[in-house]
Amino acid sequence: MNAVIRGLIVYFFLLVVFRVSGKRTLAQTTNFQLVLLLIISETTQQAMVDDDHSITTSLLLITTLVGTSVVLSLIKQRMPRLDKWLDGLPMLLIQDGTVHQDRMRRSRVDESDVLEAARTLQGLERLDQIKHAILERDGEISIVPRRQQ
Amino acid sequence: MQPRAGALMSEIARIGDIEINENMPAQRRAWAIRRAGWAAMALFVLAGLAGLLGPGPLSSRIAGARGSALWAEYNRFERYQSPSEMRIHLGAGAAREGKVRLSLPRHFIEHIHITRIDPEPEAVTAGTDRFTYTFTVPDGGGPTTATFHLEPNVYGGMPVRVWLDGGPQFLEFEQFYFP
Repeated sequence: MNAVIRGLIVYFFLLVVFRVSGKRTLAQTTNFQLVLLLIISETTQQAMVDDDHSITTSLLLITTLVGTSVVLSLIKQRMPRLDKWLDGLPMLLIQDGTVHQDRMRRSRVDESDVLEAARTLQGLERLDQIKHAILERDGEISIVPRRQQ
Repeated sequence: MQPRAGALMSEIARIGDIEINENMPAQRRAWAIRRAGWAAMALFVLAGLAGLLGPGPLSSRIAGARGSALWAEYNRFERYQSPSEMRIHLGAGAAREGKVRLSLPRHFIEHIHITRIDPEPEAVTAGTDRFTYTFTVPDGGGPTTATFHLEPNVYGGMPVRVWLDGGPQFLEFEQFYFP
């Protein structure tokens, strides 16, 4: 099969799989997630280039993948709805000190993840020092600290 | 929402005192779709294990009657450029004058790369519509097997026929090659 078509199939398959698996699947680079990323890249490479070691194919594939990414970002800019479906939306996990347990459970985030983000990003010590915690579109947790009285 | 200076980001909602594009109904829909996606991923993996996407328990089939003069073990589903095999079993009575002649259709040979045949045939005859492989067998020989090691170079369905002695006796089955 043509390298361009192979590249497109793999690109859109990965897009769907990562969207479905959830934001946090590859959001952090823990040891195991790094291994997972390496395995995926290796298998993907097999499917895309096969036994073809020509420079032309690799140049064609790089252009296809980067080009698809550019085209998608242009479309997303024009169509916010598509952007919402492809990249998701940010969501409040802690809102004004209120912990949304159901949202955290659904997003596979627990309080220790929130506290970790609070420590690393803001140097906070306790949950009650957090005003807002937001699960961002890239799967990272951002923290707005409660202002000191 | 309060009016803001510069209407550039006006579509961003304000929840309490934080400006955020949160949309819980959309989020819930996304969760529901995600669950369906997980189910689809599980089905995909199960289908792969079961042999619906390539060789596996549900894919291995038999053509012809087991133990008869001509029968074959093959995979209903194969994958593009993935090594596999097809075993053609020859019962007593398949040989004529110490030779067994098996023929495969030309369109099959053209699209499927035969990497090896065990045992090596004594001769291969390229006909217009079929290729004939001649094997030597001992006189009054019992049942034996010819194993064809294959690598599909096409996608899609492929009707296969295996003739014995070019004659009226043949096997017919279909394979599907996944990309």
